[in-house]
Amino acid sequence: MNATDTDIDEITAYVEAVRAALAGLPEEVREGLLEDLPEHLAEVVADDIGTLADRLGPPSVYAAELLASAGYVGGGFPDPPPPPRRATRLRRARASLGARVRELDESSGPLFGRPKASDFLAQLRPAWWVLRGYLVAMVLASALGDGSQIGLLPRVGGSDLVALGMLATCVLASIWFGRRRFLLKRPLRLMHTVGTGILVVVALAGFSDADSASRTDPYMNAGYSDPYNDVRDVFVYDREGNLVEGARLLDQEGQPIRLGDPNCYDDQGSYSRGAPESVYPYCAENAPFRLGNKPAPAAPAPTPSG
Amino acid sequence: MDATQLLKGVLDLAVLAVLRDEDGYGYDILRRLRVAGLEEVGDASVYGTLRRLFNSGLLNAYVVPSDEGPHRKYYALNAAGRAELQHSGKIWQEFSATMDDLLRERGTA
Repeated sequence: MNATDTDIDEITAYVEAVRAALAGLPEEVREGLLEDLPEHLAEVVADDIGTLADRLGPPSVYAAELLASAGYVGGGFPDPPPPPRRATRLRRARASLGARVRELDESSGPLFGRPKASDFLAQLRPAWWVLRGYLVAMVLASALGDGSQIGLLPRVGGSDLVALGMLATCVLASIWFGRRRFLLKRPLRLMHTVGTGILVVVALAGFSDADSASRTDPYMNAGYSDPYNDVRDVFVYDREGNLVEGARLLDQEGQPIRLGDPNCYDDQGSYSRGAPESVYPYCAENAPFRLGNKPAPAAPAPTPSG
Repeated sequence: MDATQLLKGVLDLAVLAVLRDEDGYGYDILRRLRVAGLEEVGDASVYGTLRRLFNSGLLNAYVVPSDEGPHRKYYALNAAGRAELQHSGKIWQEFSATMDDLLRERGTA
């Protein structure tokens, strides 16, 4: 079974021919394939039935078969997976998240009467374009304006006309852009996404301010619009224009109506106790429309005209 | 249909199968396959398949020196190889059972 010199020459020649046929491969791959070939062929030769070419066919055919079965061309087992690197793990996490989102997308489709929820959302896209135009106008206006609180119209300098013009321009521009966004190149598209995110955050912040302002307004108005807020005393005049003292004010239930401040202050600001509470006026000496400059008399003064 | 076409798909499995009970070197494995009935299997295919299975980490290899001939590289199934054999074997059995059923149905129809 010892290999003779002729055998060795034959094997070497055959291996060289196979190597030449594999010249297209990277050297590392080729030498990896041929590494054990001489020993292997020696076993074939040892069986001693004809030449190598008789038994194995031409070296070029042998090389093609070797290439196909070794997996550089054609199927077979895949290479063992490389140890997961960070990026791969990230990609895998992203893929599994994507799969879950797709699942949710499909399972929630019937809620909207569509195969997928995203089909429904896609129909809302033009509505989003309009809303985006409005938001851009609002944010622009608040950036250009005096920084006062955000309202409902994009006012710059308080003009309705400018506000409406700006609103229309931004909405039309947003629709125009929405229909052409696919033309954006990748980096621009990324900028567009980031810009949209910023826009939404700024707009949400502005509108949440506006909302809380409009919610607190009614309380403030109620405080300032009470017409009796400034009333300190009540003076009742009879038909003749005479001041009525010791008058009592009652509501429909017979409850005394309390208004003003039962304490009296004279011109110098010094304090004196007035009439008992809910008996008016508290301080008769302060009555307006007094005849002459004398203090109001206890008894009705004679009227000048009949 | 040509058996060599079918063989391409299952040569990996066949090689793993003949190594299940006993380690072997290239030419020995080729012989075992031929004895088992796969007479059309090519030498280059077996050699290439062994290289690939080894590179894929399914086989271990060790060299046994020989006084009278060339030293021989023996291949042995490792744990990954056994797992692959079991996995692929199951797939093959299901596949071939399906084909059997299919052929039987068509044959009787």
